[in-house]
Amino acid sequence: MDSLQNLIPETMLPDMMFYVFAGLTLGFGILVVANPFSRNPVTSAMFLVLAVISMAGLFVLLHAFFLAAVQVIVYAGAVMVLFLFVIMLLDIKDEQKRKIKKGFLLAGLLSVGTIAGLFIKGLHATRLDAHPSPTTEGDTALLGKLLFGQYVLPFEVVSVLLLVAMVGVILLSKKDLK
Amino acid sequence: MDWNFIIFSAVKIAVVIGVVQGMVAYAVLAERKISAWIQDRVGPNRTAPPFAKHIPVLGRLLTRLGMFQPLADGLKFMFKEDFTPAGVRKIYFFLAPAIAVIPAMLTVAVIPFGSVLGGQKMVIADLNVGILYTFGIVSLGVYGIVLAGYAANSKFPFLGGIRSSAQMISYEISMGLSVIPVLLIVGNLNLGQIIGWQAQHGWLILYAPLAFVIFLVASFAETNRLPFDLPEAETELVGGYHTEYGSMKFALFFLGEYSNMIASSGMMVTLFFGGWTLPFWGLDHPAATLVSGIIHILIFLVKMAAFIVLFIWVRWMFPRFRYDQLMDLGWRRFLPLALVNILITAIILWMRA
Amino acid sequence: MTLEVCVMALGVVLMLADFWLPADRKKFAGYAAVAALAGLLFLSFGGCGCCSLSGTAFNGMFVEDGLAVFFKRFFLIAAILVLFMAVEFSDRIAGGVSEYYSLIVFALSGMLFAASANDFTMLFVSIELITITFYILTSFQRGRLVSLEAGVKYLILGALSSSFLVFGIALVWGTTGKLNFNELAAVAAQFESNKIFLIGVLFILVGLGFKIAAFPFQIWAPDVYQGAPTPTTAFLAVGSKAAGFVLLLRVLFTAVPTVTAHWANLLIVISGITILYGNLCALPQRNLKRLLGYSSIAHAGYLLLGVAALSTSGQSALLYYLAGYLFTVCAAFTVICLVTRHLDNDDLSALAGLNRRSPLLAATMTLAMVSLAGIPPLAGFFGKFLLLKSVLEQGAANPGYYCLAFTALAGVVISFYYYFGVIRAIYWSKAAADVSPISLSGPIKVALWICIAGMFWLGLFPSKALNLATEAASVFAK
Repeated sequence: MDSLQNLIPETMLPDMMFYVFAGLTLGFGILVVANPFSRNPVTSAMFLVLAVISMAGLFVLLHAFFLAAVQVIVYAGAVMVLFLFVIMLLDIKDEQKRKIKKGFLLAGLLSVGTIAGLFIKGLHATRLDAHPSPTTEGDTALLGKLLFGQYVLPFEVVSVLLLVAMVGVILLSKKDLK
Repeated sequence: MDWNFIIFSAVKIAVVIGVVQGMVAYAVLAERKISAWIQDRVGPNRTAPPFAKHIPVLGRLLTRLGMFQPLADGLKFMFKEDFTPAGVRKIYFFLAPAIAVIPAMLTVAVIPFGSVLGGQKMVIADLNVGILYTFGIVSLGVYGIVLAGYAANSKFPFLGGIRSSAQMISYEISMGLSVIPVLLIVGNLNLGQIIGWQAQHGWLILYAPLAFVIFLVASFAETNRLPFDLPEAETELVGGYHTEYGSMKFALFFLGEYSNMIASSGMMVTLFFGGWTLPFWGLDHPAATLVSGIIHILIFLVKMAAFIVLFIWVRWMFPRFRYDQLMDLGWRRFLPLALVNILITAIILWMRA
Repeated sequence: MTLEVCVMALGVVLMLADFWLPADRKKFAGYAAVAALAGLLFLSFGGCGCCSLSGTAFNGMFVEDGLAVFFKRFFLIAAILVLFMAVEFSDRIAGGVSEYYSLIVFALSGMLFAASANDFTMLFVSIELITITFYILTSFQRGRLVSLEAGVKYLILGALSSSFLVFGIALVWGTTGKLNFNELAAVAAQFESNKIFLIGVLFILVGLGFKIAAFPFQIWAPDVYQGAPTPTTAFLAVGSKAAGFVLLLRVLFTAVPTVTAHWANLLIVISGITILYGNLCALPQRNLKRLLGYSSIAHAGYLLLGVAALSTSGQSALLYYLAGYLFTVCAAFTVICLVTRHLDNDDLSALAGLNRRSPLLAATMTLAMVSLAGIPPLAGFFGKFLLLKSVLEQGAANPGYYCLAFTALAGVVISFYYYFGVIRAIYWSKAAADVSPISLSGPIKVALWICIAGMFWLGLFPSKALNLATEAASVFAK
């Protein structure tokens, strides 16, 4: 009865889950851009969906349930479906044939390596607070109060941004403009 | 890590999935029977196992009602040759049916299908963000259909897949927005609490009728049921996204569609019709005894069955929408309507506060 | 705050007005927008509640100090001049002219918010509002392939820079738990040795570096400048860059001054390379807008001199230089916009014989080039002088500043070559294909005269503007 409890202390489970989800997110992320088995854009998009969902798992571990749900609804459920939609309609064959240029690959690896190195060095040099107290738990009511209280100005600016984006999409994609 | 929790959850999951599967089977039967009645036919009334005629009255009755038909259908799907057409994209071809079923099954997890039974809450996962969870999972359901269309590598299934992705995303928005008045009134996203509120104040259909109408229509679109079954519109697209599928894989799409229907019936019952409660005979309190617990579950099932019948009835009464009409309805009628509904509800609540 | 709300309302009104305006009266919308913005500008000087120095609002997210007011006026003037240009440009836009005006106004509102941003969330949303509007403004001529190409390039690189920015913000917030600049400044000292915090700040600088097109994040600038519609390019060169600079100043000198103090060498190197890169790459250019694109990179480098100096005199010199840059660049782009009206490309040869076709345009272009090159008595000269002076003042502390000053001077000398190439194309080019006179509408003449007056006023009577700049920069002197 108690064997499982002894095996995995209560506090360790979230930590383990973190590594699982983080690993999945990274793994799927790599498969999006550098899948050794398939160069099919649809496959890449599907892995991006999986990456997004694993990221939602990370949010759940942070008790940000609202964010997790929104992440899945918006990104996995809507944005990526539209991506798939476009990819399928375009039926990109060239992408599968395209060779990766050595120079670009090298430059990419170099820049990623630099950033990764910077981080690893930084993380070694820094002692992070092991258990920082979360400022906001995933309560939707609290989140709403924050958004419409403390952060109301950025929130409203974002609404202007969305308006602009909407106007832009219509302007750039409408068949014939008068 | 509480063993009790794990065991009870496992049992609940097993039972719920079993019941949903059973309901799917009999919903198909109901579909066939009701369509038959509407069209002045008899419907399935022959299929019976050999032992059925030895049971005195009941055997004949069950046979006439077609109660054994789902069994026969299931067996047929299982034993049919599992044929994979040449030229399909193999991985997605196998993946798509599974993706179509899983979200449909997962949605049921947060719906409270009863009050309390033997000290256990009758809901698999009592999430604080229950509604959002549902929408999240429902929004993933579209992948099954899109990928099925893509995997087939042929024209009509592809068109079906594309249509469905556009349709489901469009109506998801109206659906999500239509629920917001409910959330505003109740002030909670937990489905259990929403039912609790309804037990106290009366069913939410009385407070948010417009929200219910929008939700109802959107769930027709979400489940790809007529009058919005454009993704499979057989007269235009042969069979739509599942043209190339056969045997059990096809059955899984079927299962997905009906599970979705059941899940959205469950959601509607929970959100607008008081869930497992009834406003009389003291049935609106969490059950104290085993019997009342079972009665609560039965109440929920009956309400749900009523919605399933509604789904079926509508399917055989209305013609299919044209695709542009469907989009027009979603974006230019329901979306503004849902937004106005939110605004009005918010204003009324603000005035009363 | 009233100002921002008015500007946003103006954007919406412009878009709605499109409903009722007949097709041949669309120009009117542009002039109306100009008039409205001019009114707001006037009110901001009148000081009737529009731009009063009322401290902070929204929990310190929004700050209304001297710097904010300086930049708000700056952005308003820029938007007015760009709108003048946009009206002239409107016949080259296939559709959605009113939307073009209104998007310019929305970008302006983003810049106004950027001027007042005192919090990383505000910084991010205002920068996004500006950038996303510019994605659309850049690809607005969707019939032209170069415009679309520019839009896509800007979109992809801009998204990349935004991701750096937001990642940096996340790291800073993760280590310090502060988003507000003032609150961060209070605790920044104890995180000085925290590498993760420093990486966060560095990433934020990367994001902002993109906006101002500083080396090594300048790669997008020439392509986007060349491909975008000319008014967009002008606004990008002036408004977007200035917004980047105001945010850069706030981050470096309000939020993390202690960190900045250690990073003088980094800033010196970036500034020096940016100057050299911009000037050297501009040398072989034959395309006017591309040439100005490279020149704008060089000018980002000059402006960074003022940041690298880490002194109030450097900051005020930067502000002064930006003001001169505003009039100069707007003048140059207005001329390009008018000259290339019937041409497909913006080649240098388009300027041939301009002195005979329109003396006013030729004179304006010449003055703009002279000012950009930094020759007295125009705005550019005095600005460069101030920037160099502020850098040399710091030379005693760090010999790197002498190298930087020398680099900047070398850059100025190199730039003479290509700026005078433009002037030569106007007056001394052989074959002018088109010698028909260019007719100028009344309003655009006004815009040109404003630019000329601005260049001369800043160059000849610098004291008034310098006072304003010093006053604005005094927010950092504590």
